[in-house]
Amino acid sequence: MNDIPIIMSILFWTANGLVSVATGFFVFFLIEQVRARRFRRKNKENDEENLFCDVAYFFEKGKRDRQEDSFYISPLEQYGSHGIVVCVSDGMGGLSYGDEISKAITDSISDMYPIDFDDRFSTSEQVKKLSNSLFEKYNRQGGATFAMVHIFRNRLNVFSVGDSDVILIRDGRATVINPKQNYISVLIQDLIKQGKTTHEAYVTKKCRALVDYMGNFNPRVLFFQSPIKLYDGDTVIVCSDGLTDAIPVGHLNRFLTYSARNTAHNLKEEIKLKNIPRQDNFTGIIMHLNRD
Amino acid sequence: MIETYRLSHNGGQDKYCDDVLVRVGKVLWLVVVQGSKEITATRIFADAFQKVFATCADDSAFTDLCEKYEKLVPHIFDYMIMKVSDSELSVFRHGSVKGYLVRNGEIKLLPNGTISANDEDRILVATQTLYEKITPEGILADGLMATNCEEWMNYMLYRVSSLDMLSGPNLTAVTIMVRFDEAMKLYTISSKKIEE
Repeated sequence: MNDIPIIMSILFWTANGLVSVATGFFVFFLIEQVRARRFRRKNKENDEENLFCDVAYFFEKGKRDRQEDSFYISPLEQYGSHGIVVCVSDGMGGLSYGDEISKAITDSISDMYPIDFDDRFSTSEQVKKLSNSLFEKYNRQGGATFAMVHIFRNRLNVFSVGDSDVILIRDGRATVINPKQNYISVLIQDLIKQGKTTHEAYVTKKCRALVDYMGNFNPRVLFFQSPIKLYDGDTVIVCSDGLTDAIPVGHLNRFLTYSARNTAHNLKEEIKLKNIPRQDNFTGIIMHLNRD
Repeated sequence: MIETYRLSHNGGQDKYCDDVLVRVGKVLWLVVVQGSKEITATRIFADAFQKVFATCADDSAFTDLCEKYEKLVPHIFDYMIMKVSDSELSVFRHGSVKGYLVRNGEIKLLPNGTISANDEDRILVATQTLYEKITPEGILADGLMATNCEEWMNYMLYRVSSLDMLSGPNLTAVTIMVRFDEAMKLYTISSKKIEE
């Protein structure tokens, strides 16, 4: 009978021990879950930060006497801290100073770098100011187009004046992602308002003439109100119309390869092979975004 | 504030067979019907649509209107009903008329049901004839580049025009932008602070 309290005591302490061990395991399990979740979240964030940007370009005179295109690529070593800024400017044909003006534009963008990714309005104002200074100097005796992209932490900003192209190739589809500021766009709007088809817009004299350009006073600088999210496998091309006049946008994905350098090479060779009489200057900057 | 712009274009056809009903008040009610070549039938149902539509007010339940239309419209018609308020987007689609939402730099197909509305949401509702000529990336880029609904529509029509000069079938589309006013933004920010 005297053994009963001892047995009870042993049972009590055994149960107590088991509960303590179970509680310990449970707490350990919870801590591990929290740690694993934090690790997964951190990895996800890192993955988002780590889209690698592979860049290459071509810059060719075509069959013109002068090179009136100009381009800028920001230092790649600052990709992590400030992103990459690339731009192409295409001097307007038929006017003087196209080469000077396009060079002045890309030089100014180089001076502006690093650019605040989130303050798009301020960047657009700086571009407008630049155009106004060109207006003062050249008084519409010359002008140039302007297309610029800024990629930072897998997001893409676009700024554009005129008709140079920014193209996004995603899932095998190539899409121009900046509107053209040409006379066709104005005519199309008028015809649609009248309920008509738009054939007339394309046969109108000088329909491809620009309605806005760098060197004009207070041009409208088009820019994304908020940036586009980029994904693994996306390709962004910034180019002058010398490229898109020679190769239709819908065919560009045929020239994509695993590296930006090879893509640039393929595009350049294709244009040369086409041997188009009076081939315009053609410049293209190719950016492949991937995880490798 | 909810801003909207509507396009109803014949394309290269003699008659316009689709139908768009829009009511903008505190909330936006929208019905887009894709018509058929049998214009008479379309017209009859479009009239019925309008009668039902006339009964909906800002505070009407979304499901009530959907139920009325489901009973009313033969299944051969493709249509989409949408209600947009400052707080939520409700969608009911039947067939090929569909909507895309541009939010946070991404584009998503709007599912049937109700989701919350965010400041600067951009929505496109259109018939299949538009989607055949424009990529999701085109819709996304134009939506983000545009400062208002009309501009967004014009950018997209430039793309369509460069393919068929608008000589194809009827084109019907509505662009919508949700913009919270400053008072609402402040409220949202202060709510967040309280939650934190």
